[in-house]
Amino acid sequence: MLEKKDNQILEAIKKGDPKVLEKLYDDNRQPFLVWASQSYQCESEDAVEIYQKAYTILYLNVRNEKLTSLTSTIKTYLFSIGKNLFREKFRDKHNRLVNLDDVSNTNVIDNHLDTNVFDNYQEEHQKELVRQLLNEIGNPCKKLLELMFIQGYSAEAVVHEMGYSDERVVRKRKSLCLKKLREMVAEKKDSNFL
Amino acid sequence: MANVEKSRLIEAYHRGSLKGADKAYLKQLMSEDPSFKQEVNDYKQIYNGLEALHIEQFQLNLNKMEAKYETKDNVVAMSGNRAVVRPMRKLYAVAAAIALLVCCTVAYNLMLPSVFDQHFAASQSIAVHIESTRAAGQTVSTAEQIKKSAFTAYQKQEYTKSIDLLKDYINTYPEKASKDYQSMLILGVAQLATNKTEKATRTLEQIINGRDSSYKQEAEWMWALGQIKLEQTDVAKEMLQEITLQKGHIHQEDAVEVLGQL
Repeated sequence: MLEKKDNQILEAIKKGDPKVLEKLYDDNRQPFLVWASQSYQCESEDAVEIYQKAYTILYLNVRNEKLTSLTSTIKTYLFSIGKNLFREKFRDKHNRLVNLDDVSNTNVIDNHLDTNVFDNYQEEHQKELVRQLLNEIGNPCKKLLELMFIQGYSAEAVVHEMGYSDERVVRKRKSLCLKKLREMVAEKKDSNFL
Repeated sequence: MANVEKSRLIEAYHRGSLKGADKAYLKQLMSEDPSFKQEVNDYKQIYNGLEALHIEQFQLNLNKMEAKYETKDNVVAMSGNRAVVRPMRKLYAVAAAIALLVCCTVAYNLMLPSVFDQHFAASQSIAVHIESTRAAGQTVSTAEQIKKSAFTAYQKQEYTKSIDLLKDYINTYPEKASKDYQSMLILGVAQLATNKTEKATRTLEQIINGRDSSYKQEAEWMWALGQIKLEQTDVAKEMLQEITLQKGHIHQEDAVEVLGQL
C-alpha cells in the first residue's frame, strides 16, 4: 500500500504538481538533514545544499522517465541519491588534495577541469541564448513557452491560463512558437553571439 | 510532413522518448537531408536551453521552499513600518530549542531510517540468473522447476512464496540443495526481507562457512546487516571490519560507510 502511494506521488511529481513537490520537500527535509549530520558530520548549510541537489535529481529522474516506479520508498530513493552525492563530494575533496600534491597528475587535472568547464559553458550559453530569444519573441509565444517548458504547465493548464479554446490549439501554437524560435536561431548563426 | 508532426517527433527525439519506427524514420530523414539535420540540431539547442531554464526555475522554487525555514530573529514588524526589537524573544527561542532537542532525542530513532533500512535492498542486491537447463531433447527436472519458480517469485518480490518454494526444494533435495549456494542466498535475503532475521542469519552462515563461492561476499554483507537488525552491533562490526580488509570485496565501501554509522 505504501508503494502504491509513493507511485502516485511519482505521477504527481511528473506532472509538476507544486503542492506535492512542496509537501515532499518538507516531509523529507528534516530526516535528511539529521541523517546527513549524523552520518557525515557536515554543517547544516552543506546538508541543505546536498538535500536540494538530491531532490533536484529525484525530480529530473522522474521527469525524464528514468524513474517510473519504485521498489522502495521515495524517502529511501532520495537518501540513496544523497549518499552518492556525499560520496562524490568526499571523493572530489580527496582527489583535489591528492592532485594538488602530485605534480605528475597535472595533465589529468587539466583535462578533467577543461571538460567540466566546457560542458558548463555550453549549457550556460544555451540557457542564455533561449532567455534572450524569449525576450525578443515577446507575448503570446513567450508566455506560452514559459508556461509549458519552464513552469511545466500541461496543455490543459495552458488552455485555462491563456484562454485558448482547447488543447489542440495550444499544441499548434506551441509548434508555431518553437518554429519561430528556431528561425531566430538560424538568423543568429552568423552573429558573434553564437 | 506537417509542422506539428515534425515538431512532435523532434521534441520526442530530444526527450529520448522517441522509439521504434518513429525514431528510425527521423534518423533516416536526418541522414538524407542535411538541412533537416541542421534543423534538428537547432531545436536541440532550444530544448536544451528551455530545459536549463526549467531547472533554474525549479531551483528558485526550492529556495523559496527552503526560505520558510530561515527564521527572522528578534524583529517583529508593526503597523506604520516601524520594527520593534524584542530581546527576550531570542531567549525564549533558545529555551524552546533546547526543550525541543531533548524531546527530539527520544523521537530521533523513530524518525531516522535505521542503518539496516538504509542499506538493505532485497531485490536489487542479487543478480538472479534463471537459465534454462534444458539441453536438446531433455526436460527440466522437478528440482530445477521448483528453483525456477522460487527465483521468479523472488524477482517479483513475492518473498514469502519464494521462501516456501525454496524450503520445499531444500527438504525434497537435501543433497543437491546443500551445495546450491545461490538458492541459499536467495532464501537468506528473502527471509531478511520478511523480517525472519534469525532464520536469515542461520541460512547465510551456511554460505559463509561453506566452500568459497561467488555468493560468499554477498552473504557476508547480508549477514552483517542481519546482525545490525538483531542489535548485535559488536558482532556486525567484526564482520564489517573483515569485509573492509578484503581487497576487492564487492561491499568494501558499503562496510566502511556502515561502520562509520554504528
